[in-house]
Amino acid sequence: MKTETPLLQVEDLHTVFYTDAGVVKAVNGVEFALDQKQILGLVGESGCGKTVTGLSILGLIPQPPGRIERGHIVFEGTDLLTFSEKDMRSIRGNRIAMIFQEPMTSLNPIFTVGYQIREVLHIHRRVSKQEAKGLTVEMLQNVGLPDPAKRMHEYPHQMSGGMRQRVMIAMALCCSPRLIIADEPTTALDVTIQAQILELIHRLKENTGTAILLITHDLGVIAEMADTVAVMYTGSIVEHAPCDDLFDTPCHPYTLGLIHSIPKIDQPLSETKRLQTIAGVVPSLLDLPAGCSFQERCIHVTTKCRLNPPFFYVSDTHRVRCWLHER
Amino acid sequence: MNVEPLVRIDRLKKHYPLRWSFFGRAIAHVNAVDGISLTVNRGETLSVVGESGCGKTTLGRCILNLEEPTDGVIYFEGRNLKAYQPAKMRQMRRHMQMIFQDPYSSLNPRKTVSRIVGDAFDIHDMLPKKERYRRVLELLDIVGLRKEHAQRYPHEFSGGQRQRIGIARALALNPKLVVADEPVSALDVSIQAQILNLLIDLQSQFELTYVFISHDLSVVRHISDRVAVMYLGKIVELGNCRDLFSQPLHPYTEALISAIPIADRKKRGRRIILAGDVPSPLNPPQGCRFHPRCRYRQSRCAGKEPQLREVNTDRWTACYYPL
Repeated sequence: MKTETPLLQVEDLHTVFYTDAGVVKAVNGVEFALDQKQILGLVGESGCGKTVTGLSILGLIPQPPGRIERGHIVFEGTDLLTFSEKDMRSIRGNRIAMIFQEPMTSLNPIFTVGYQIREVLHIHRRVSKQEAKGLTVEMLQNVGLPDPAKRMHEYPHQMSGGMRQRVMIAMALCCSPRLIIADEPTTALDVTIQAQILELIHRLKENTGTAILLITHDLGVIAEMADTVAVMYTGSIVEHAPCDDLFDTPCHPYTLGLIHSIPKIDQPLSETKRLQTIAGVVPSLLDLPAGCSFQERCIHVTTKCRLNPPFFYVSDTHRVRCWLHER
Repeated sequence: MNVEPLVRIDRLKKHYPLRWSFFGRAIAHVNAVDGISLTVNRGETLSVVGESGCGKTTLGRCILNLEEPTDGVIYFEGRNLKAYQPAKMRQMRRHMQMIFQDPYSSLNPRKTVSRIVGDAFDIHDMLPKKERYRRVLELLDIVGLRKEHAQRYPHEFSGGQRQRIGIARALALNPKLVVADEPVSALDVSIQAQILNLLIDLQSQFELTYVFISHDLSVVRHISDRVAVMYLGKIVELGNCRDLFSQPLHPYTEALISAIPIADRKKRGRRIILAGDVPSPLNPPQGCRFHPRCRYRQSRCAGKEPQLREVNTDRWTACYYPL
């Protein structure tokens, strides 16, 4: 069933942190929509606000020092920002689940993995002990954990990184969430294990129809997984397009720079071996330049860049925040 | 060109004791490096790739004599490193330097950049005091830092800049060999490209030889002349970079390469997904160490362990049935 309103709509989200050094604008007017069964990739370098965006949706921003200043996060037609903490708790882990980057630190080391999954089932689905046990085995089976009936009695430290990530995914899937926020789900894993986990996430999305917000710094993972991609830079989305369009015709100078600065495994080696780079470093979020925040590193910079560019539409679905594409 | 390679490793083993019996004898070992023979030629970049726990870092540390090998010999410019007395070894160290993965923990937070880079001259008693500072500034310039950075502390720098400091430190004594252990994996992609370019430039400028340890195959393909693929403490494939990536011989190499996510959807090949995890190096499988996960395995693979052999010119693999 295709609904008129998207599953998740984030509008003009501003999340800031009040620190001793000043006000850090971690998320600076982010807006996007996500339909069910869709994977939206949120990509950018460290400190660009991609994780904070994910945490804002789940209401997990520590307050203080953090604060969501403005914006709306409309999930299934209601604005999550108007919810009380108690209401949020019934959503979190239930309608919206999260998969974290480091499965070792996000699982509790003193409980067995089976216990931790049963806990989710008890809280959100109120099933009996016996049922919970059966469901746990089933969930672990779904995510491809070998010998689940035995392994559910193990502690996180007894498992490898890949297995722990499978447990995390099983836990996220327990309540058949409508939306999963996966924050760097494979970054801590080796490449052969990463391939296994990405395949698993893909399969689960097909089977359950859940939407996924995939947060990563790895453009390769994005290309592999995402339907649409939003590239973030210093707290804002600078380019937003269907995955193929983004890689075929990247429009923002930052996106181009990112794509060119990765050594390509599928392209012949250049003689000089030099990579194209983006000059300079990411500006401090405490002290962003007025206007386009990429201007100091951009090779196409003009005087116009001192004004903040709005989104320009390259096509119906491809928008970019850069004056170069002004019509 | 000298015939003698810069480094020659002969049947190197490094076992770490894990448990001891009541009488203090080790009864269980982790075989981090388990019989590796390898040469590093002058002026080349040899990359060592593999997944976590395959022993690539241990190998790098053994080459620099930072770990004492359990067995086997390492020759540096034809001389056995073990034969050096500690004092002599310390002098030798100026010819071999290391760049570390984590630019945050590998720089002393209480020293200024000029001390960090200049310490090498103190240790080796090389330059008069006045010259030292001049040389430090020169080094900072080479790695793309500014003069005024010399008096700052590491915490004032970004990750990429810190890695530049680490590189300046490694270059201070004009080393012949630089072992770079995951030098770019802690960095963001746009910064990673800057550091890779710097490493490539420095190599041609100073005729450096690199042993480049990494888990990132796209980076390895970009920077290397030859590549050694490790799996559970052994080299499973060794060869020149171009051919190894275009036509891998070992099933593990094939799977590794196919597992890399590729940005261009049209060029994406068929993905080979390996079943299961890397077995524990405590208790590696009998026979070929890769055979439990190998999709081409045959009965012979579980028997005697295949040895690394030359299949083609400069193409070595430890597989009975190379692809």
